[in-house]
Amino acid sequence: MIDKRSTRVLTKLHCKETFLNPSYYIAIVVSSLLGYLPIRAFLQSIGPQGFSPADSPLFANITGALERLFSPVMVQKLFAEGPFLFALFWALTPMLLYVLISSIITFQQHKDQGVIELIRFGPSNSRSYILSLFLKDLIAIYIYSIYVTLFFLAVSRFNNLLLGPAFIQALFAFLLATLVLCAYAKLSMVATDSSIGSIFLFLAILAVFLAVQLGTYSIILEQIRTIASLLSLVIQWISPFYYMTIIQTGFELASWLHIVGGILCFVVLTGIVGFISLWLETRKERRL
Amino acid sequence: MIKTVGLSKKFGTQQAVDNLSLNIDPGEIYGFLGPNGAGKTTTIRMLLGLTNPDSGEIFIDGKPVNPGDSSYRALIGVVPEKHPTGMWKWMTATEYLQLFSDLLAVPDSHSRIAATLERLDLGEHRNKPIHQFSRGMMQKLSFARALIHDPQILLLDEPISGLDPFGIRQIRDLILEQHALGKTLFVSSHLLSEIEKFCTRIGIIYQGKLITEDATDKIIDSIIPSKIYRIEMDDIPEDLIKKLVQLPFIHEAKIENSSLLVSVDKAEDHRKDLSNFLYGCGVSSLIMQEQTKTLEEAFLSITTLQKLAKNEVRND
Amino acid sequence: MNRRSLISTLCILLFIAALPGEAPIRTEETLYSIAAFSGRDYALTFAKENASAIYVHSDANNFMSLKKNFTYFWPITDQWMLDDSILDITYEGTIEITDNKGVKKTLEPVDYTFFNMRGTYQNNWHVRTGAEAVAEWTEYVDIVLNYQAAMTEYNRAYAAYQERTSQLFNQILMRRGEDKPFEHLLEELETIKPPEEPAKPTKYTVPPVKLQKGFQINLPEGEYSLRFIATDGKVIEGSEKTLISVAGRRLNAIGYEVFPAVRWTQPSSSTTPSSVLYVDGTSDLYVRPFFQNEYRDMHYNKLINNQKSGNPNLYTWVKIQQVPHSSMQITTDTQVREVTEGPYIVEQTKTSAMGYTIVPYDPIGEHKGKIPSVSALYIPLSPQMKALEFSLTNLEDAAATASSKRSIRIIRGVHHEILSMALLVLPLIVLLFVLIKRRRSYRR
Repeated sequence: MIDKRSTRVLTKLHCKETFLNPSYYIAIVVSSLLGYLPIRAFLQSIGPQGFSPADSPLFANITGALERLFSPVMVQKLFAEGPFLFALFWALTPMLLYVLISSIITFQQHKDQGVIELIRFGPSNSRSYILSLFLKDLIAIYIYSIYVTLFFLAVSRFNNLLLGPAFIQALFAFLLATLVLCAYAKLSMVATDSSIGSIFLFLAILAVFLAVQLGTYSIILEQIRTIASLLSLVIQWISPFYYMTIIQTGFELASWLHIVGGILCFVVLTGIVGFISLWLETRKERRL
Repeated sequence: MIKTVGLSKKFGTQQAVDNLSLNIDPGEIYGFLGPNGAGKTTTIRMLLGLTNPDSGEIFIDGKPVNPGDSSYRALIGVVPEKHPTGMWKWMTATEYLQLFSDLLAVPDSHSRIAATLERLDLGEHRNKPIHQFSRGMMQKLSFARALIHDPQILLLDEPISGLDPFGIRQIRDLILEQHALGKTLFVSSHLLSEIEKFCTRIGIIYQGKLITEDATDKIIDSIIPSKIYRIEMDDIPEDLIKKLVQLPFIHEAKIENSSLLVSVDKAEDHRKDLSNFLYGCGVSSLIMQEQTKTLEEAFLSITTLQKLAKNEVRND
Repeated sequence: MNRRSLISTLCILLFIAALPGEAPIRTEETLYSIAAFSGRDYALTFAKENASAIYVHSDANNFMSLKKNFTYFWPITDQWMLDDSILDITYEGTIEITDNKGVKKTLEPVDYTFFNMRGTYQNNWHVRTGAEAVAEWTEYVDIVLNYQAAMTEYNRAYAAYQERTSQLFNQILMRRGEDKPFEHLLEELETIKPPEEPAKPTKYTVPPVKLQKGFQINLPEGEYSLRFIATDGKVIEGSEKTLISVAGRRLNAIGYEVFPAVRWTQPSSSTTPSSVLYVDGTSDLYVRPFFQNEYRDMHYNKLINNQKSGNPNLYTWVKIQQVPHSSMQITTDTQVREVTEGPYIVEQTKTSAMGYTIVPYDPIGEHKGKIPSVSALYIPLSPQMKALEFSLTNLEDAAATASSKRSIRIIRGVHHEILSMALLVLPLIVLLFVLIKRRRSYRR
């Protein structure tokens, strides 16, 4: 059972711990700087005919590689509205990894030091603790997302760029995907007994989902795509990236069925992964 | 207040707790003694529901404890052996207690925190970050956390371990103060000499089994049947030991560090008889001192007996 | 380099040049020859024996036949090529198509031809099969023959006219030299008319393809299995394929081809209203609006050329045809303007710098006798402008009008970089504030 009060109190504690930690702010600065660099490069690559990736050393290689791997349509879609979709990826991914990995490390340290046990004297339980960490992760990422959106908005105003619907839609899909990724981080956290093991497991899960998703988009080798497509038949149902594409399709086609369906799938998948994490932790507790 | 019936727990092949039955009355200070690895912490964890027993039952305040049920923990305040504040050293004492007050939904928590910190002489340190606390202060803070919700039962796991004499004195006073308030205290320790000073009843656990359990005095009486006199003298004749052991009230005599150690019946005072006998032998004692066997020594002797019974001494 | 070594080098080069080029290895293959409708055109491709699937456009007439030809790999284009000059056998039999519910359909070969009767903008493809195809082909052949005959007659009459005028001219010159009267000859020269050139046949923009036999494939969107059954009832080995009937996901949206006045050769595309045109404003823009359909990238690529690859999970917009006689509303901060499509011509710049410039087409003046390079909408820009929006105004479909909205933003490098950097380090300032506040709370 999850104790609401404990969860609330512990979430507050984790948030306070995060917001008092200088590394959170440093991660924000580094991540948003990573997001700013492609915007800057984009601004310098505008000619009379429009955006010319070949004019930028940064984009020349990246867009070339993307075109070869996933077709020119991918690049066209990525930069259709401007640089922000691409920048969003660079700005959010490191922060997401920072928040989730630091959460995993915190959990294992707390576990090793007996902090979780102390909380269980509270009385609380480790389920509330895990849920509170999950909520803290979401809050930390969402606060950062708000900051980075405002930052991008300011940069767009300074430079006459458009921060348009495609960005908002991608951000929305990303924030939904964060739900599932946070849940997977928690699953990795309880599935192993060491920080390194949990981090590796989480990164492995992430890598498999990404590899399968990108594999199905790959055009470079038909065999890779075939294998990825076959794997995807099974993996897509538990992959946040698949549901991201559903929501993106929904926005493209203005199809509420896709959007609402995608949101529901995200919520259900988060619930399932979260439930498994809590069940696993309870089982571990009971085995003691 | 705390009752266990046939409590057992096995980790792999190791029997951590074996058919343990305890019955601790309200208002008691129960000393739970045993060497490291005897099963003390496992017992406490089972009482708290943190470890599920393989068999047996636990009753807290007359109600059975079910696996997964944590509601009864509000009745209990716990001072664990190691106080895990490592990750929260950035917190002040007030923030730390506020966290647990919030978890336990303590009413009027602010004034209660202030009062508890004052009572434990931590009032002036209330806004200090925990990382600046000494070990003694940390232990007091752990006590403060255990007391913050005014529990009926206090489970103390090695509460005086690693403290300086002043710290030990403070914690001892605190335990007695809580006892005076009618709280039930379950104190686990291996520092037996200290425990005997405040426990009303003692249970000794060894290899998961409760070897003996009784009032502190009775335990001491039962496990220390004789008195030992240490006699200091200028010169000890060679045949003195032989002559001494022939006396009816003497159990054992030996020389240790140039002193004569004589073990006699505990029931009567044989000092005069012993002085007369020594005088008769032509030796005069410079000092004769009664050396009472401590609880610690008694505990050691029991466990030694246990080991002997199991023929484990040779292996050791 | 001395003379001897120069001669030696030349000899070696001559020897290498004289070596016969490595002839591509031709392989005999049973393949499907396909004429697939692409939404705007007919694409001619072939599916090799090892191709797993054939792609055709849904709800449109596509044609295919099973053939035996030679194929060879052409490294320059990195493609397999078909050689039907030596071996060109068309299999006889029927095609069996089975849908995913197991319903079978057998197709018999038919005579077919297709042709286009569009004007400048109309996507007006016609397909004729059976007797109609024969009639259409016959009519086309008649038109061509009649035109050729008329042209022959015209050429003959024109030669006679030229000969007669030449004769008259010479006679006039001679008589004038001899001081003889020549007025009647002059009168004849003035009245003699050249023969009228026969009008070119206008019925077809794209003439009918040569009448041939094939299987007409017109299927709803979906995946089918396909095989060829010979006249003896046996399935031809290698003829079993998956048949994918491709449909557009979104149809009749508006896309633009955009090219700056200074770089005519580098057009860019804007496919959806969310795609913003970022330019530096140093050059005016010309835009051509197109109706466009959205297809699965890989399906469409393979429909056009079965050997091509593409992304099966991404959709791509395909321009179908230019919007006829388009007009556009351009909105800036200060004004709203209406522009209409007009003809433009691309001229080489007259300065020493290499390049092109686009200027309005002047049919009676400067560009008399030339044809316009492009018909487009002109959007004047300047670096001082910030942004403008435009959309087409002459479309009947509201959805298409909505999809025609675009914005152009003028970008002139990186601005307010210091402010951006200040915002970047703002979290560190917040951190400083938090730490100071925390330290104060410890002191309290």
